[in-house]
Parts: sequence; structure tokens; C-alpha cells
Amino acid sequence: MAGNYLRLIIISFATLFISCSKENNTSTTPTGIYTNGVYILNEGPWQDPNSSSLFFYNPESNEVESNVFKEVNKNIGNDGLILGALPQSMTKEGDLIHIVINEDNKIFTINAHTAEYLGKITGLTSPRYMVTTPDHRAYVTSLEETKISIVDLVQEEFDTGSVLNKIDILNPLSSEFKQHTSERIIAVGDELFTNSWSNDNKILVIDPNTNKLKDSIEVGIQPQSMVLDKNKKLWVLCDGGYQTSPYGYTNGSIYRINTKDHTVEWHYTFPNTIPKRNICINGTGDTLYFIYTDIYRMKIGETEPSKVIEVQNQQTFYSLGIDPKNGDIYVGDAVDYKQAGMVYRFDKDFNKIDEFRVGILPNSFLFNYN
Amino acid sequence: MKSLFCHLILLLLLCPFVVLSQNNIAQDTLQIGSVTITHQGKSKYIAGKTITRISSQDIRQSSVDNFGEMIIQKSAIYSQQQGRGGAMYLSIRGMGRNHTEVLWNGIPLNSPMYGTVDFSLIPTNIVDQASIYFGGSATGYSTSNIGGTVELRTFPNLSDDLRGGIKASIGSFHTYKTSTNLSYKLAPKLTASSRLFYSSSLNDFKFINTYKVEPNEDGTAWINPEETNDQGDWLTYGLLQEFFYEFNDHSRLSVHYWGQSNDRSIPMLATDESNDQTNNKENNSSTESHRGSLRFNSEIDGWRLTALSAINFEKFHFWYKNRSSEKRSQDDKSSSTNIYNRFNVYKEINPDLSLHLEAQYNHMVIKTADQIYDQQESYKRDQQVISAKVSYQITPILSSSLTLMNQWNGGQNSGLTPFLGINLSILNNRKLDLTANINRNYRFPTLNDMYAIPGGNPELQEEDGWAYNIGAINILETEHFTFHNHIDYYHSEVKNWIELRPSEYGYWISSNKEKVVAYGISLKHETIWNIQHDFLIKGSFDYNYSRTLNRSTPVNSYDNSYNKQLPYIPEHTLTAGLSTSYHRWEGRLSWIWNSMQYSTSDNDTSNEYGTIDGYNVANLDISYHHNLIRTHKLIYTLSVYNLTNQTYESMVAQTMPGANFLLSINYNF
Repeated sequence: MAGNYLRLIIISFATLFISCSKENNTSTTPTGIYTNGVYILNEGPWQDPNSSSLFFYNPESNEVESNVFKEVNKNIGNDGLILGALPQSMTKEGDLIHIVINEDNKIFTINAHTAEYLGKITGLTSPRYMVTTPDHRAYVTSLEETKISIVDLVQEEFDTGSVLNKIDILNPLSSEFKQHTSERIIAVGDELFTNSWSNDNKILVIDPNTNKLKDSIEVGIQPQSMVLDKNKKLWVLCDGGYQTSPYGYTNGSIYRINTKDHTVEWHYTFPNTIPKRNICINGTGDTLYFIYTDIYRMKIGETEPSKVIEVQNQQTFYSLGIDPKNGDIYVGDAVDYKQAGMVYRFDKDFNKIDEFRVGILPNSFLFNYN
Repeated sequence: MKSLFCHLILLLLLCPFVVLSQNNIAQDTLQIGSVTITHQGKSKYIAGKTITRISSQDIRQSSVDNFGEMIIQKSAIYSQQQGRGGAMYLSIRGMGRNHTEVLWNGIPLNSPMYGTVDFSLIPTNIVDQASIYFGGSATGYSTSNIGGTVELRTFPNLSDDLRGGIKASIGSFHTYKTSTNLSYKLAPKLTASSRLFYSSSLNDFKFINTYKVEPNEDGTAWINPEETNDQGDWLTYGLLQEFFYEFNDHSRLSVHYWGQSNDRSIPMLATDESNDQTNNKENNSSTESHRGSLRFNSEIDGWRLTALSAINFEKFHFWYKNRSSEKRSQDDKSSSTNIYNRFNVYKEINPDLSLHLEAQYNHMVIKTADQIYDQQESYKRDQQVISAKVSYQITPILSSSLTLMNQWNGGQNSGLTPFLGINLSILNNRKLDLTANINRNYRFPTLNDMYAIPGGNPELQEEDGWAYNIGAINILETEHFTFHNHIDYYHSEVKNWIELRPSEYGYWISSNKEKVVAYGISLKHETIWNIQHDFLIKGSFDYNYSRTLNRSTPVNSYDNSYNKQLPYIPEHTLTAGLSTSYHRWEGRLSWIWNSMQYSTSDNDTSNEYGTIDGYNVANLDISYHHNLIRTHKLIYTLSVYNLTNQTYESMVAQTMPGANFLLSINYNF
């Protein structure tokens, strides 16, 4: 069993993003073919499982298919199946896509090419993101509990997964704050890295062979997201907390971590407290992008980020994805947070080439290429 | 099991009274309560105001679980309830849940922290009469007048006799309820009233969960599982003790205490799948409240004086955890200590002119504690209010009422908040009245709006705007029939509407929406058919059409929310009732309908989401009155809720039970 974990390979889930298409290109008729395009996950309002949705965008034809999950699975059960409350992230594993549904404490698995529902994993606590292993297992992070769940994944229709074990990552030294919860998770070699976002400043290193917390790396306040570059360096975006936070409030920062010796190699502090979120990396692993009201870019050799896409017309950039194939940039706009959002697609030179309407609060993109 | 045993004992104790009935005195004609009374605006005191009263008789006869359910059966007010027995909030005329102010014997029940009142925690037993003031009709008495004000009151029984009653109920889903009330004289000038209440339910109804699917036994198809509602049980008990001391015919001192404890588990969303054999969530809340007041009334030289000093202490505890975990994931405690002081004088200057002056000084202290993060916060706010009301009968057919109010919250001055209402009787027999009023809307942000961590916004602006209402009231009476009709058109504008919204920070924040406009029509009708002296039929309906529109400048060119209905507010609300009494039998049928709601601000339904289905639900009560000796009486009532066994939800994914019943025995003397 331990050997399997040693062979752990990154099958990152993360968020590869892109988006585009026009409102008049939106269709609700399921085509049943969802390959070579972009899945867009819309989390919907809190406590309203009816209003989350999964869209699909074809970058070749610029066509958008809305509410794919509900349409494809409308003959399941008496009334069809809906996605649920606050879907948070998508992870691709071969021909499967696992959708982590945060408020419902579950993971749905669909066929990546047809969006047909295959099964679910239940019994989780506030799941956020996951990373899969070659033996069809996954490590799932949690915003609520100080544990990483190890789950047995769904592999075929009518399958149900289960929670096999949990890794305790509680920080026993912090009595004032509940540390550590977990957010993103990335496998590098035979180690797992996760960022403890809420009221914390740590990147945690987990040994999947022993299922123990192995190390922690201090970064800035509230590491919100992270990616791995082509040199296996970990880039961490810290949002700096919020104004009334008892844990602290700073300008936010970017950290580069050496994943071999767990040291901080470089860091950059932002000049102000404007919110930052969702660091992404392109397909070649050499250019970072993130939301800082506008869209900023930083090549991994640079020392300062630069603005590449400016907010216009009071847009509210909420999510970001980079097409690994061609470098197109997909930006999700929350509009007023309570209505159908927008997605803007830019080419790698930052020219807008499409825009289209999606569901409420588009929060992530998954590029589904063969 | 213990509860069931206690109730069986209680029911057995009540049975002997049935035997006494063999010599009962002559039958009496039953007096069924008014289904909905729309207050006629002829009095100068209420000129131009729209008020619905719920009579004490209606309240006594009701078998609903709480006062919120009583209100929505009597008036077209929209309710949101988190499952049966769960938290219940009322929205009046398309406004928000925190635009409804609730006063119990003059004490505000709204939480200074959140601004809301959970109506599921108000038992019917502690109210003798309720009045619903729509819009700004309660300006001066109430400080938050945007949606409306619900005034709950108790009255002393000053008779020399011992009066009282005991009621025991048993119902579906292991539901047990008991209440007693006694009014008694302790001394020639001292009377007392004691009321006890107890209610519990496992609330373990079964339902087909259409939000979930499981593989069938063969693993060849997906089916919706049958589930038992394992979150939603409640236990509520408490007492109301009152003393009334009559100094003379014009002066009275009264002391009131209402203590209550509530424990309940909160239903998870029906989509939640944290439940399995190893990982079940507990989601609970408990509240404890102690409300005491000292009231002095006196009349000196034509001046009526009232002084009220009250304290409202509430403790709230919310937590949830995985049953497989030793530690709770969330554990929040809060307490509020609110002190209210009101002093008012009233003078009937002449038969056509009266003056009412009031001053308030209120002090609120909120303490919150996050047990997980070991964080404590404390907030204080002082509030001062002064108001003056002049009621003037201008001519025999024209009356008016003018109220001027000013309040200060935490040192912030609201400025003058006026209300002007007029009433014109246009037919000689005064069977048709026209009414109109105009008032200023005003509401301070709550402490949570401003200081919550995270999400509080100290820069929030106060809600402000103007509202007006025009209406007509008509009463027709014949030998056997009485028809009562009331129509209102209302229009209300609120600038800086306060709302919670997600943010780029990853948590929800309080923010101002530039402008919201609500307008609509309210139609109320009641017919009373007096067929013979002991046979009566009453029918009524109360319909409200409400458009609550966002009139804020669009966020950007992609924002389609301008002039669209706000999410989670239905456009149509209807409640209808039919009641009859014949000899000793009585029947009451009520029907509630709420139309579809939008869940998005752009009201877009093209993507097969964005709406929440409307629902209707009917309830039926059948009672038999058994007269015993003298004033002693037994009333047996069978209540059937959700009579037509509808599958419905008041809030998304919060399943409500199908048809269910409650059997009650009520002994009154």
C-alpha cells in the first residue's frame, strides 16, 4: 500500500481555466460530447443547491452549452439530479472528472466526455480540492476540519466511493486559532503540499507513506492559492487576511518555495491590501497569472508582476484559468454575485476574443482535452 | 418515552371532566374568532393606517406550533421557514426579514445584532392579542418602520374568579405540547396571571429525498432514497408570570416576566451527504431568554401616563460537529442584554383632538464568543427616541393622524421621521372610507451589519426613503351578512438597502444597495354569514401582490438586475380561510399560497435554474365544545396539517412533512 503512495504522481486537479462564447451561442440541448473544450463550474448562491451549474464551452465553435450536468442527468431518479450546494473544484482523472461539492460534503464523479453521472463519495467535511493517485485514490482538503481525507474514488457507474482514512494536520501549538485547515493540494515527488488558508501562514508538507504531517513552511498571512512551475518550484499567493481579522492583516505576498528542501527562495510583498486570489500557471509552467482586481502576470524569472488585463466597466473578476494548449486566458466575472456571471476569453497577447454568459459565480475552469 | 407517558397521564386527568358534562347548562352559541380583521380607519387615532388584528379568541383556539404560523394563516405575509419547527422569518409587503419589527408588551424582540425575530420561538400561549401594522403605521411606537410592525400584547383578567385552562396535545412525529394558564386574585387589589408552556417533537418524519440518488439493490439504476428527518427535533418550555396591582381606578402597576428555553437541531440541506454511518453531522442551536418589565399606568387630570422599564436578556448557542469527531467544527455563543425605558403621556385635549408624546432610552450590549477560535467581541449601542403624535378629527367625516419621530443610534441622528395619515368617509352612512398615508422609511444598520468578523462594514449607510399608501375600506351589513373589504396600494422606496453578498475576499460582507422600490396591492375580504343563532360561516382571503425591484445603477453593462424582482421574495402571497360553527361543532380551514420566487438578481430562467417553486398548503381544525358545569368547558380539536399531502419546501432543499395531525384537549374554566 505504501508503495503505491511512493509512486504518487501529480494528477493535479487544479484549475486550468479558459472561457468564452457569446450569449446567443448558448444552448441548453445536451450534445453529449464534451471533449476538447472547457468545463466551467458555477458555484451558485449559498444554501441554494438548485442554482449551481456546470457549463461547457467549445473554443473552436465558440458555442456554450448551459447547465450540462442537470440536462444530461435529468432522467436519474424521480426528478433528475442536480449538482448541489457550492461545487468548489474539478479534478480530471483519465476519463473521469471528480467534482468537489463543498457545502454538500460530497464528491460527484462524471464521465469526462459525456458528463453522465457515475457515482459519489460521501461522508466528507467541507471538502475543497483534491489530488488523485494512480491507484484511484485521492487526498481531499477541508476548510472546516484539520484533517486531509483519503478517499477511494468512483471508477464506474453505480459506484460509490468512501473515506478510507484521515490525516491529522492540526497545529497543536495554536490555541487561539483552529490551525491547520487545508485548501489547495499538490503532489510533488513523494510529498504532498497543501496551503492552510484560514487564519494561518503555513504551507504544510505531508508524507503519504506514513500519512503524517511532515513539515510546515512559513509564508505570508493567509496563503490563498498555489501552483507548481516547470522547475518543481511552488508558487504561493497570500491574500494578507482581511481588515478586521484577529489573526492579522497585511498587504499580501507571493512566495516561491523550493519543494526539495522546503525553504522559501524568494518572496514579493504587494504595495497595498487590495484582494488577490487564484494564482494560475500556463501549460509550459513558466508564467504565472492571478487576480489583483485586474489580471496580473509574472514570468517565473521576473521579480515583479505586471498588469496585463485591466478591469473595465466595473467588472468583478472572480476566477481565472489558462488554457494549457494555447495560453488563452479565461476570466470569470461575478457581476453582482447574484446573477448569471460572465466569462471573458483573451488570447495570450491579451486581446479579448470572446465573451459569454455562464451560471452564477463561475469559480473554476477545467480544460478537457484528449 | 417520558414525554409520551406524561401526556397520556395528562389526557387521562382531563377525561373525568367529560363525565361532569351530563348536567351541563344550556348550549351556547360558539363564537368563532375573526378570521382577519382589517381595522376600520374611522377613528382619528388610526387615521390612514392599515392594521390587521388577530383576536384573543383566534389565538386561544389555535393549535399551531408558534405565533409565526398563526400570523401567516391570518394575513398574507410571506414566511421563510427552515423546515418544520425551524427558524421562521416573516417579510411584510415584499420587504426583508429584518424590516419586520416585533414588540411584546412594548419590548422590542428584534435582535440588535441581526435585526430579525425568529417567530418559531414565540409560543402562542404568551400572547392575548396581536396587531400587524403595515408599512409606517406604527411610526413613533416602533422605531423600524419599513416593512411593518407586529405588536403582541397580554391583558390582565381582573375578575374576582379564578380563570384558566389547560391544553394538552399529541401529534405526528412524536410531537407533544402542553400549556396552562391561570388568572387569580391574590389580594383585593392584586391579581396575577401564570402561564406555562412546553412543546417537544422528534420531528422524525419520513420523506423521499429527490435531491439524492442511490444505486438500487441490483446496482443497475439510480433511485431516490427514503430518509428520516434526523435533524429538526425541538424542545421548548417556559413560563410567563404577571402581577397587576390596582392602586385605584386610574392607576395600575404591573410586573411581567417571560422566561423561555429552546433546544433544537437544525436541518441540513436535503442535498447534504455528510451523513453516512461513520460521519454524521450534528447541527444545533439553543436559546435562553429572560424578559422582564415593570409598567406603570396612571391618569391624572385627564393626562394618561405610562412608564415602562424592561430588560430583555437572551443567550444563543450554535454549534455543529461530525458525530465521529470529538471536537466541534463551529461553536458560537452570544448574549444580548437590552434595557428599554419608555415614558409616554396622552391627553385628550378635546373630543376631536388628542396628543401623544413619547420618549425612549434604550441601551444594548452584545457579547459574542467563538469557542473554536477563542475570540470574544463586545458591542454596545445606546438609542434615544422621541416622538409626538397628534390625532385630529377635522370634520365628522375627515380625520387625520400626524406623528413626528426622531431617533439617535450610537450618537447618529436619524433626522425627523414623520408619518401623516388621513381618513375620509365618503358615504353618509360611513360604509366606505378612503385612507391615505405617507411616511419616511428609516433603519439603522444592525451591529452585525457593521461589526461582524469577517464581513462587517462600519461604513454602511442607513436605509432611508419614503413610502405612501392609499386605500379604501368598505363594510356592508345586512340582517344575515357582513362583508368587509379593504384594498390598499402601497409604494415604498428604500435607499441604501442593506444586504449581505459574497465578496472578492472569500467571505460575505454587508453592503448598501443603492435603491430598492417596492410597490403592490393588498386585498382583504371577509364575509360573515349568520345563518341562525348557533350557525355561522365565515370566509376570508388576504392577497398581496408585491413587486420589490432593484433600482440601483447596474454594476456594469453585463448586470441585468436593474428593475428586477429581488431574489427570494415572491410576487404573490395569498391566505384564505373558511370557518364555521354549528351548535357545538366548529371547523376552520386555512389555505396558504406563495408564488414562485427568483433565486437570481437578473430573474433569468432560461438556464433551467434561477427559480424556486411556489407552494400551497392547507390546514384543517375540527373542534367539539363540551360544556361542563357553569363556565367549565372541554374542547377537543383535531388538526390536520398539509391536508392535501403536498410535497413542498418553504426554503430550498428544506423538506417539509406530508399530511400530519395533532389531537388536542383543552379544558377551560
